[in-house]
Amino acid sequence: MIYLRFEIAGQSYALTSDAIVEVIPFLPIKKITHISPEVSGMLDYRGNLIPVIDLSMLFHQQTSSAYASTRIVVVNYLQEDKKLLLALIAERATETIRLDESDFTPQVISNKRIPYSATATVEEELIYRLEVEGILPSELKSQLYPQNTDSGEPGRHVN
Amino acid sequence: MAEEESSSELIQTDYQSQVDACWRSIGVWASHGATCSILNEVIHCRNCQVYIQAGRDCLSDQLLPDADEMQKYSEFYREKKTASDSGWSKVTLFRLGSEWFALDTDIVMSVFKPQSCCWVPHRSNRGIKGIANVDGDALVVVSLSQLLGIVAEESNDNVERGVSKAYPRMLAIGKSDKPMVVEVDEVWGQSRYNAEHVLPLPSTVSKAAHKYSVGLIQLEDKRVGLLDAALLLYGLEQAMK
Repeated sequence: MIYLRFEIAGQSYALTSDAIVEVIPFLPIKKITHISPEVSGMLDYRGNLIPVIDLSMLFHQQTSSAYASTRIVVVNYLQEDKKLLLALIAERATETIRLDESDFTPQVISNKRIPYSATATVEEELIYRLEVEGILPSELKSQLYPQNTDSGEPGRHVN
Repeated sequence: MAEEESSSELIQTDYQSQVDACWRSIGVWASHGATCSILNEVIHCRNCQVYIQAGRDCLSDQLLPDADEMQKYSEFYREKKTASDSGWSKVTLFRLGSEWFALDTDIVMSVFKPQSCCWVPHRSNRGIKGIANVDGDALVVVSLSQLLGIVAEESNDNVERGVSKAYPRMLAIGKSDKPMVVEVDEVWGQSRYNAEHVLPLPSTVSKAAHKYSVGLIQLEDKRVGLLDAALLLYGLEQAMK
């Protein structure tokens, strides 16, 4: 399997290439008011307006640095019924790595909020594997795709 | 404009001074008595962690392009992809005798140098040429030229016709479960064609080749016969019986 390797606040992460549509430069993003700070705004991507999530803000409450190595990763999200696109801002998203399923150790700590599903060691460094479906906390998910979120799901906010 | 250029140069020189560019003084290859102990192990700098890390740092410290450039990127990614892949198919091009054929790449599993073929008693009279050892699997070698009715030409003919020097290859073709091996005189490589641009077959094509061909594709300077993958596989399987 090929994984995109990137960093969030110095920690390395791997995202499976199956989920990735495209990795594009850190384009200017249209801001939105009255939304959680993790949502950077909207991006006009190939004719679709797609929400942009700043992973660094989501995980560590700090904005991603504006370097050329910081890139927007367009991923497929909620694949089962409808193809929705989601843009993630990731730092140092400049290389891919090849890892087998056997290289990963399953995540030992779980509270249904931790988005890492497994851990691997690459070049003497721990690398967490992220699952696209697990990246967004449920309350953020319902804000982004209110029409696609089950009404019975806990954590749904009705304003 | 000139200012911008000089500023980008400044960034580069700044950066170069920061990096301990050991490969500049030592060289990137482990030859000519390399003075780096790591280089002797990794052979080329591209396999060395120092070099890889320098590449990472180089990318990570680079500032975003100016606003005008970013605006251009924004416009580029706002447009829908124009070159859509619909209607395009990938084909592998190969030569038999003096004729070029195109075969759907999906069914071509591997291309390899000709191997000696083990004769099979009582079964070598028709299409079967024998059995070849392909990466540890015993696969049946079927004569594609016989199936397509193409007579192998003498080498003199090739020279006269200006056909390039022969590079015979074997192709393993088929769906994943039971590939078959066919011999071809040359493999050119991969190409793409659009279903809309397939030309009808001329009536002069030999009857056998006609049966397995769908049409002609124009590729640069030559016209190539497009083979029907499903029909060809069926034909090869029949030839094995």
